[in-house]
Amino acid sequence: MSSTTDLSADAGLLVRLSLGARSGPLSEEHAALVGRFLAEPALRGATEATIDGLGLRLVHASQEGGLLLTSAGADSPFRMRLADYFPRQTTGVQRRMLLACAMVASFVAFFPRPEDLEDSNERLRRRDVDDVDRLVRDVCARLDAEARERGEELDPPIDEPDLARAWTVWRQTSNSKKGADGREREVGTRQVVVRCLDLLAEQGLLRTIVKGETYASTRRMQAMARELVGSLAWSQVAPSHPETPEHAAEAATSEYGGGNDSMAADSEVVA
Amino acid sequence: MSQVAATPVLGGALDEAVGRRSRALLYAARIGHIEEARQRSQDARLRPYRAPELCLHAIDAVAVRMDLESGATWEQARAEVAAQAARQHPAGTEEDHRHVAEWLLRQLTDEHDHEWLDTAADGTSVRRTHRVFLLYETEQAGLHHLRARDQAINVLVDALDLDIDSAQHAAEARLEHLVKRGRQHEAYLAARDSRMQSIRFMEQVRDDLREAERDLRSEHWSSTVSPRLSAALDHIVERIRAEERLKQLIDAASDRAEDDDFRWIPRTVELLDECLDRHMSLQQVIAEARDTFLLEQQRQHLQPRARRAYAHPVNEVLTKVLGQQCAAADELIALVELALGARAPRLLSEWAGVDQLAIEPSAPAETGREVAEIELTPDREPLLFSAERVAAAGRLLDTVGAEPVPLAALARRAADPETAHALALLALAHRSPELGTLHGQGVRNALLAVPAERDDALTSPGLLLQRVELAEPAESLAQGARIPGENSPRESSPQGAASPAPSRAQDDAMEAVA
Repeated sequence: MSSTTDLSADAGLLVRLSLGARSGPLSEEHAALVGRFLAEPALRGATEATIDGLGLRLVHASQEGGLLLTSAGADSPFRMRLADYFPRQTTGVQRRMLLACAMVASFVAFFPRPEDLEDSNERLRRRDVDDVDRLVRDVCARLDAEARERGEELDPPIDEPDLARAWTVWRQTSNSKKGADGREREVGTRQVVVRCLDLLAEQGLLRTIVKGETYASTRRMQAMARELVGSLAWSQVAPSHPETPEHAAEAATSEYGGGNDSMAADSEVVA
Repeated sequence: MSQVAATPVLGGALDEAVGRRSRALLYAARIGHIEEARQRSQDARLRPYRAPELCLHAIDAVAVRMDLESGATWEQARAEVAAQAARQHPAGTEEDHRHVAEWLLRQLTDEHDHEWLDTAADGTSVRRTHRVFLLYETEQAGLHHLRARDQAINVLVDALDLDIDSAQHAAEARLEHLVKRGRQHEAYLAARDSRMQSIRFMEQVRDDLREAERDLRSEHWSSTVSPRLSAALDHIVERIRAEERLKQLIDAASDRAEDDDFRWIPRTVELLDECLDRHMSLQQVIAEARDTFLLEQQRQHLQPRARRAYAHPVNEVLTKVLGQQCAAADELIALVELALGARAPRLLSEWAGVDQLAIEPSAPAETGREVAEIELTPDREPLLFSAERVAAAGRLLDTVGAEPVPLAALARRAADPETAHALALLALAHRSPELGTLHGQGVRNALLAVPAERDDALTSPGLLLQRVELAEPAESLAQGARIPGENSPRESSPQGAASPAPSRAQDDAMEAVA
């Protein structure tokens, strides 16, 4: 019954409301639109087209939680850029790695088991900042022990910070609350985790129970964690720990070979 | 004695029922573990409380507030437990009670894997792990609340392992029996159990409904899920009838009740009413849900949803991420950014701007820190002479030329004894035994080797050679040479002294000679 124009307006409004939505009950207008989205193929089509056109992606849709949207790619105008929120934490490659790990850990700590990711699992968790840090440190300790058992060289060449393993960087970074001078540390893992959790809370993925201390997960976060775990599990990022020593040797030579090539190229340019 | 009872096979007692019961026991044991955790805890504020009672109160508080849509919020449950804690430890502060309540809720919502012994189909025993948690927090329609698990409620009603249908029947039968016998107090307690069973049943129906909703698109919906809902509906109708009959029974019993019984009868009726309400609303919900689901199913085309197997978040994903080299950081950050959701684009969101303004200039890293102006305070004894006196003594020394002058004569020209003293000290600084000896031996020009500013191939530092002329000695006067400056050699008096600059040259000369 509704004209194309009305449909477009409704689709636009739904996208707008969804972008602004946070954890909590939907407004009456919003809930009505979500209900129509789920029931009316016409509105659904229009909304999906709008979402697509804007450079967004629909992660999850339900009557209770509404539409959960995220940016569709690197050039989307809706893209969250961590560098905007962590200007100092993104300066060096090791700091960026620390930040990435803290973010992944912030998701994983609230959904530590595969079954937690299933839509049917409605259990949510409360976590302290220290729980997140401890989780990472436990995994780090395990990786460290395994690497030592294999007799791997852990210290990267001093001029190649790229080659440092993420877990060694995390282990080398303090998690104490205060520095030696009694001031809040700025780059301790604890502080990075707190800021990650705060950002997640601001995005409506976590609830703040005690700021800087305790946070609780939401259904929105569950959907996002599902996405993240899926994309990380399938991502083509270099294999973490080689299964066999041969692999390790191969990986090492190719990496070092690459390094040498680029250095050779540099020297040619200089010459 | 031919009639021998069938001898139990040795070890035959380990059957499925034992396994199920031992699993049910894990939930009761969890409460014991919480008490142990409290005793082991370093936290002194937990010491005065007893955890088991608080646990039961917490489960009770959560269970009785539950309905299909919502339940007790964390804060409500905490307040309830804190009130019980206050009863246990009246001397404690409000804050302590809240602290123990918060701790307890965290314990009750924490999950733990426990082992139990299951019986496999062939009669052998299998060790399995079972995940135990009593309460959980969840979100429905955007509202966060706590729910008690079916097994937790089971702990409350002291039933190890009963299926809910039969448990409800049993609770009602017990209630009926007690009412008929006029044991009103016990009837009240039985009614409480009855209520808990009705809550358990509600929880089960809720699970079924959610399952039905999820499986709506599966083709087997009408053949598998729907019958369960029908059975639930039948059960509810039966319960409602039974509860109404019980109320009539209590009405009849109250005619011949004694005074003491009237303390319990109204409460029992109240509980029964609550159960009745719950069952009636459940009946309505299920009936409506079935219709909705059937309609939905007709409308939507069937789309079997593939169940995805997720990677293990910790063991696979986090481990993989932490095992990577830092070179992968940008790729990881890009993936994480996608999981953060969308942000409406703005030119510069206000707080991002504030953040940028608040950054200290990054210059120090490049150019080093500015050196602070250092103010030094003298760390030695006050000077023996005032600056004027030293200056006056210096002026007196300056008057000394090529003519030899005795120090004593010079000192007589000083204005006061302190100046004379200063003069003597300054003059002594110019004493030079080596040159004096040379001079005394009649040497009139000496070769000086003065250190140069930089090294050369021969010596370090390099040496500048220079011949200086010494004046004729004055008769009957003590030795003491006057050495000219480095570049402008000039005659000096044997015992005179001159300005500080030549004296430094003299020091240098002494070193060279040495």
